[in-house]
Amino acid sequence: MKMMNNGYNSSFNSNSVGLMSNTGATTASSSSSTSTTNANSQSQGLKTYFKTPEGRYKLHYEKTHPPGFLPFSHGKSVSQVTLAQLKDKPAQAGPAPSSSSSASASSGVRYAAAKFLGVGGGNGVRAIGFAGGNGTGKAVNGTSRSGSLVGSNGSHSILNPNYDGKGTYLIFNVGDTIFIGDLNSPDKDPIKSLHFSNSNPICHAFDPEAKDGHDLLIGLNSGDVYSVSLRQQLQDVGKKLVGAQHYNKEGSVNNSRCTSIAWIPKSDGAFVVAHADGNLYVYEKSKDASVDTSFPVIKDQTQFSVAHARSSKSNPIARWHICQGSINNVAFSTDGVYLATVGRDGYLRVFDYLKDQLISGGKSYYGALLCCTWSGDGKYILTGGEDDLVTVWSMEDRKVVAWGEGHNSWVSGVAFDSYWSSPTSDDTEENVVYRFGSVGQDTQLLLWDLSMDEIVVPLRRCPPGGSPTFSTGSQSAHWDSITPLGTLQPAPCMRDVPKLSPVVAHRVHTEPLSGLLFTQESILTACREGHVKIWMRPSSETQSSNSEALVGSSSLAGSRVGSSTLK
Amino acid sequence: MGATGSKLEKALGDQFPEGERYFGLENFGNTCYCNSVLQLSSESTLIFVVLGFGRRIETVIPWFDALYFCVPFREQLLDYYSNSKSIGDAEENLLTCLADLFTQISSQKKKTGVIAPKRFVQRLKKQNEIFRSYMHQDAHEFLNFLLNELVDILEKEAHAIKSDAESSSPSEKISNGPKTGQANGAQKEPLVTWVHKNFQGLLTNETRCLRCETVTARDETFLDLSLDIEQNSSITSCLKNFSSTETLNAEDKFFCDKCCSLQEAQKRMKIKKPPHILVIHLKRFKYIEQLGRYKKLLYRVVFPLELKLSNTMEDADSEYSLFAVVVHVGSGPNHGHYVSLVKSHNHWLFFDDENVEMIDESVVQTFFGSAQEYSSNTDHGYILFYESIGTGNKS
Repeated sequence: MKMMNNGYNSSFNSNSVGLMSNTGATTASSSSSTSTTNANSQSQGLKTYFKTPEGRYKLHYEKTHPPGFLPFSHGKSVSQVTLAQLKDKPAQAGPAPSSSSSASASSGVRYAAAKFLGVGGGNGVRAIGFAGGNGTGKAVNGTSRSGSLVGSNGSHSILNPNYDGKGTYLIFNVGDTIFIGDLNSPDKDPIKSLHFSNSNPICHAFDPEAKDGHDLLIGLNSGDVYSVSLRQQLQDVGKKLVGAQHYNKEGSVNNSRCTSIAWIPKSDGAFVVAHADGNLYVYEKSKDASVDTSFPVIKDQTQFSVAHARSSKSNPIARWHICQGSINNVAFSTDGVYLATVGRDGYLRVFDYLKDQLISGGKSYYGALLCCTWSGDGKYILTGGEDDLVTVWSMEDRKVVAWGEGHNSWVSGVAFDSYWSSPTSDDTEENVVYRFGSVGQDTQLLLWDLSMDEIVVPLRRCPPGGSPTFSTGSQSAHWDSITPLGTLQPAPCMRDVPKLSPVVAHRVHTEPLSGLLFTQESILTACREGHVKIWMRPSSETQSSNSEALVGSSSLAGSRVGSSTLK
Repeated sequence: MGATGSKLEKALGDQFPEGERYFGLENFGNTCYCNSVLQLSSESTLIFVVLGFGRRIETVIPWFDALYFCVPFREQLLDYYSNSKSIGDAEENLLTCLADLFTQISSQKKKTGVIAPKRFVQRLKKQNEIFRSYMHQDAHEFLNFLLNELVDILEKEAHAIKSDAESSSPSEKISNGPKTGQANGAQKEPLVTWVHKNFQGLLTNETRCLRCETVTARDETFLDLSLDIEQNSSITSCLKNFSSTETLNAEDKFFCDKCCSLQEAQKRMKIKKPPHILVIHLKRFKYIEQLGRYKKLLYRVVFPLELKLSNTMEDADSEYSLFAVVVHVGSGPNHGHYVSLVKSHNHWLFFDDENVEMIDESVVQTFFGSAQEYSSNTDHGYILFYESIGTGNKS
């Protein structure tokens, strides 16, 4: 197969010399200015802001892997980004404070980091420079290198003395490495890297409410799954996972690629892992990771089936066979009741997770679906895929209610902006406006406003031979338009679905995009090659209190440096 | 033959499709006439590349595997050949030579191996004269040339049979006359061969005069669609651009028959009748005026395994499934190599001259192109073959 691995090796060597001086990061300001200049030279023709009806979003920080990093030892993989917020409590202590539990109920990815922004931006920087030097440079000392990958129980001798135990972190995978960056630091380089020697990490998830410290999940190309404590990784200076639980070792339960991983909300440490062969496994981190469960052979590959483990002690506790071909993405509704999956076969499937039951779903216009997400109120699901469309699925109607047209290539990431509020602010029950975003392989970020009362649903043509109002069956007429529970809808026709146009379309990277997150202060975009950009919301929009005022001013300083080098 | 063949057989195991044959084409030494013909050249004369550099330049017949695994085409070609054989020794032509090659492969005892397409290549040599008019040959033009040749041969045969039967009837081709501006169905249907049935689609070119609002529609048939490409785009987007409205103004005004003068107009292309086999050619070779030569566009253009044409005039959106990709390997237009990816019985196969390997479906994605201008990745999807899987909704 000489064709497949044609060299990806040359492109990252070029400015490794520049990197060395950069990694030193003696002061935060100098480091920020150099990284900004690098960014400008790399991404020519890209604007550092974009305009929306509510104001300008400005490029605030960029995060990426160290320039000298050669990410392709096991071939290429697509970068995904996860946001993780660590609270004040040290790792070994009990449950995390539930100060903002209602906000954090949304999946860890979208967690608001508002409260702690100031802290990381201020003190964190110098400490981070130190850790970054270790993580990216060559000087890994012997002790940490010999630390075993699995279950070393934190027996490492060197702790990072400057690590202050709280902050908001960006976790992203590039090639065989997971990088962790500080969201609120201007430093472009990550503060920590975790190297995987056997297989590439593909997906990850963070649980801000994890009780026993294991809050970070990592799924690998080999099918292996780890759960670790993020705090513990940050405290350690090595490049290996410490204190990890290892599930599906060497793919003993399923050796196909992990494609998507998610904590189950309000489940006390249960999570699901989706695989490229159409199976999804349920694990509980409290259960023994070393005993693998065996499941019966799947009789009909085309049928959905759930098998529960016979033993209550072992992991995984259940296998869901969902579809033929890969599951590409999964997402839980914020209450943890519903699970949405999308896959190679082009179907969105919505399950009642607690009842092991398929309740609805439908096909893309054509081609595979690549991503999905829930609205905060659980009423809508967004999907994106190979038909270049963003699809809005209504839970109530059990069908597609709108298609967003605007991408020039596949849609790889979708997210609702739960922090956005309509400027008209008469959000009555009937007139709710949702803001959502999408990113695509066309390198564009698109923002959309979805106002349900403005969507005109094309009239359904009456089926031949009968008036819909007088159906002879026992079912009442208003159910006629809704498909029965548990059935999948075929692909709609182009002219039957209302279309949306984006509010904003902006080319944010030079590479195809892979991820999108909203925080209270910013929009995060990630590209496949592992570059992350943080776009600050319009300043008028920031509900700044005392603590955020600090961040605001420092961010201003940062962007001033950036713009002066531009002009 | 043994080694790679048996490897593929092992990989497929008992999933080896009943009656199917997977044969590579031998790229035989000096007789690589095709190779030289396939050379893309900016010169106005054919350059015969001598393979003296110890390096193979081009694939024998780049689109061969795509056509062979286009099952309806293959079945009809084999049918045609067995029928024409029974009639008696027909005159040898490109059609019979291609059919002969197909028959040779499908009737092999061994399931895998290598075959030398000698007769077909020799026939190409004989048709040197025709080839001379096809300068700037590349895989796409070569395919287009072949399909048109096959159509010509079939039409001639049909005509011969017809004129035998009713000698007084005028030839259909002539009776078509010149195309009129207005599209009307009153024209006598041209002869539809089985090559047409597989590959031919109908485009309609609508021009609306901005002064009198009259719409002039002109229909044209096509055997493949050539699409302009953009960096980091999709086939869907390229098709959309193909059908997007274009304004004719300034130097480029439209002569409106009704206004009897040059007027500004809007023009758009719609697909009136989608073909059964949709062949999409990506215009990766572009003439750059400043450079005075052709340049290969390495753009990343993603193509889905399923596709719908939404710019059609028909009610239902017809759905297609990707079954073959001709890949151009190389950084420039003047050198390189072709390989192909083919889907057969739900397995993807990789054909590189005499080598045939099984690949995972996800490997297709590695041939999309490069997201950055400078890249060491030089393997790019160049011609895509989609087969219609019917209109409406399949689950």
